[in-house]
Amino acid sequence: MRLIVVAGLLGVGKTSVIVRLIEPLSESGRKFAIIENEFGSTGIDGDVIERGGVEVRDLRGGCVCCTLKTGLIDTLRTLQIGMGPDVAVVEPSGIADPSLIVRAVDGVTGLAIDDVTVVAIVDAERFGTMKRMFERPLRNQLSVAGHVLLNKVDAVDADGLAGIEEAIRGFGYAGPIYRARADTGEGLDALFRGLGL
Amino acid sequence: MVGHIKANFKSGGQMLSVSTTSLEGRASLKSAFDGDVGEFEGAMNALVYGIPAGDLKAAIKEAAEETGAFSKLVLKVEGGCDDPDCGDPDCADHGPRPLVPS
Repeated sequence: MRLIVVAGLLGVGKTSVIVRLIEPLSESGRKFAIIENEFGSTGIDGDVIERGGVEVRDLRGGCVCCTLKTGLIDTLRTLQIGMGPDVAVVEPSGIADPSLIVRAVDGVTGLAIDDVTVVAIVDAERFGTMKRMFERPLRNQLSVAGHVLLNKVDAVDADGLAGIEEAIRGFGYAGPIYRARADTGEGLDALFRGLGL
Repeated sequence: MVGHIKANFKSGGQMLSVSTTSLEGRASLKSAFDGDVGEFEGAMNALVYGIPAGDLKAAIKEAAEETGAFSKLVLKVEGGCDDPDCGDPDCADHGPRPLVPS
């Protein structure tokens, strides 16, 4: 089973990207599962994704990188036994540290995960504020990311986008950066190709 | 202030899904009702840094009541501390988060 973690701070567009991910995953013929994690006890994003015609497993009321870590592992085990997905997509809450998720699933007995890919979504529109307020969580996300999606690029001019990409590189990230608009789907194909979908 | 406020409203198999991260109140619709609806149920999740949770709750209550659209409104503060730098899993501090980490 391959695990794709779609990480990013509050409101960067994680759910919108996952909704767009459903089509290429379906067309590829792979069996896939989506696991939603929300900090609050009321699920919002799971309902949005289910409108895309897929079943969603919700983990609510905490964060899968810490308080709900066991819940994530149990959910992955249950999926592995019952459904046997080729791909499991995890959307952690906006405050999650994906490096802790990568560590949590590594070497767990009875869990056959071949590969973990972290996609870090960065909000171009609010990058300056996010960087100032959440530098450490942003650094943590980029430190384990294999792909970075720069979302909401319509809100920033070309020089601004280049500056954001430079700042992302400044965190030590060396992988691909895709410019996109998750609301329209523009630019997401490059990410999906990068993920091998 | 930075945060994410999102809500789903459901009526007769339809769902209006709205999300905002904008201080100016610009919101995006992920799905909408086909037309007017008589009744709906909804859930909203508001996670906002920079203001106390109690003030956020009061602001949401005031705005919701102003619409006159809700016959029942349940508001609750939950989840304890939402500071990503806190590190205390049992922290129940609902106080304001600093705009710039100290």
